Amino acid sequence: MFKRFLPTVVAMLAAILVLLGYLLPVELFAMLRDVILLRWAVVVAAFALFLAYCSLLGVHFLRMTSAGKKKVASLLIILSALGTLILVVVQGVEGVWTRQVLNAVLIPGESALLALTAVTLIVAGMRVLRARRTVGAIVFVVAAAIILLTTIAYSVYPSVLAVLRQGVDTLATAGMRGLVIGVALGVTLTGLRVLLGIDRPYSDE
Amino acid sequence: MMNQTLMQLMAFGVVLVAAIAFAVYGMRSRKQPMATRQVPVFRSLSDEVGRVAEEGASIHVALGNGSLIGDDAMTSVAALQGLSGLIDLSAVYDTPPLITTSDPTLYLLAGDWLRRAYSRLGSADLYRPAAVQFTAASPITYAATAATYLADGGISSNVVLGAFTQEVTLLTTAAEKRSIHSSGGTTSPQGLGALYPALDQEQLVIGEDLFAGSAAVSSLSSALASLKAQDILRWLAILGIIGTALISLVRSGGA
Repeated sequence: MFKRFLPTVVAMLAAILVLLGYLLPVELFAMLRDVILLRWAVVVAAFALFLAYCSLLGVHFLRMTSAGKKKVASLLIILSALGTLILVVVQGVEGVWTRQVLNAVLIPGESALLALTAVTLIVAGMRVLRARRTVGAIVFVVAAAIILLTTIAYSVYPSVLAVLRQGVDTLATAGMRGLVIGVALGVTLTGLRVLLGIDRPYSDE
Repeated sequence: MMNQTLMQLMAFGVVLVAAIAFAVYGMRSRKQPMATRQVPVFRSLSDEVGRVAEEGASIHVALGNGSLIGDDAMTSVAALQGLSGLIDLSAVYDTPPLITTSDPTLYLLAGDWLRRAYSRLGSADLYRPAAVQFTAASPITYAATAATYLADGGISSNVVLGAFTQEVTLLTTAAEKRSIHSSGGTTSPQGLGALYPALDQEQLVIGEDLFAGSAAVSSLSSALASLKAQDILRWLAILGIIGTALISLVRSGGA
């Protein structure tokens, strides 16, 4: 009874209070949302992060002890996860070495990966023309090419490309807004189902 | 300040209309089954389980980085609902998918979802916690790490469904390199821009279609009603946009 009833009541109450905090111009709801519920959510998220961190270590310990490949990678992940944790516990998030790890390892590493996504996107765009010669694929590649080329050339010939750029921006913004409105409606209805207790992703009933 | 209050009340109005439409279609769908738009990807996901089980391989499911306490919470919940058929069937065949995510709260929910699928069959002891993995907290590192799992072998299907941006291209490229079949979708324009060239159109879930997963997989009256209400609201939004544009046009012409 409690297993089914309690999570549903907590989820519904929290969802209704947060929603009212956003939708009604009443100070009390906004305060409840910001002071109590969001703080609770942060505590829950912190606990979830701790569990996820333990799981990450557990998975890589298992990989190291099993007969599979990539044991060195798993060892490196474990060492870096533990090393970073010790650093943060000893020095805090603003410590000199913590910031050094962030600035010298994490940020450059992630920037490199982001740069890699640009390359893989271009390769995927070129491949799509070879594999799928549909109208949609052609429109996609032409639009991507126009945006890429005008972005680069705009700094050199701003007056010439201003009109083309404005046209492309208008179309892109219209498309994005259409997509986002559709998603917002989907989010609203899915949220309503959870809020009314019809969908209970946290329980089996 | 006035503007914000007005916006809040308008949003309240949208939620209210959505609730009414949902209630009306909910009552109707109980009386007679409703026809809604079809998103074939969700049905084909379940077929993947059989194919993969025959091959003795496994499915990689990337759930993305949609936190359950953030803006993408419902995207992640909808993705899991769309994957429920795949997860349930995987438990039946005892070929659990490898589920990866970069958000700790989603990691817990996905793990619970898979464990419950085993529990429903009365074989909770067969559930392996390592089937659900939190790989990294940053989306880009997550995608890069999950892409290495595709290179490890033993995976013959790659499903990317949830909150992603352009980092998803690392996953689809890794899958393509190893001739692993990919399918999925996301809600962000950046993520869709990356997925569109990588996936076949029949295998791609675009934007709001991601929220049709529950109706496609379960055919529950509540899910069908919600999808129908979503379609009605979409038409109302279209009419609202056209109406506003016409009013602006008339006003600018008169000025």
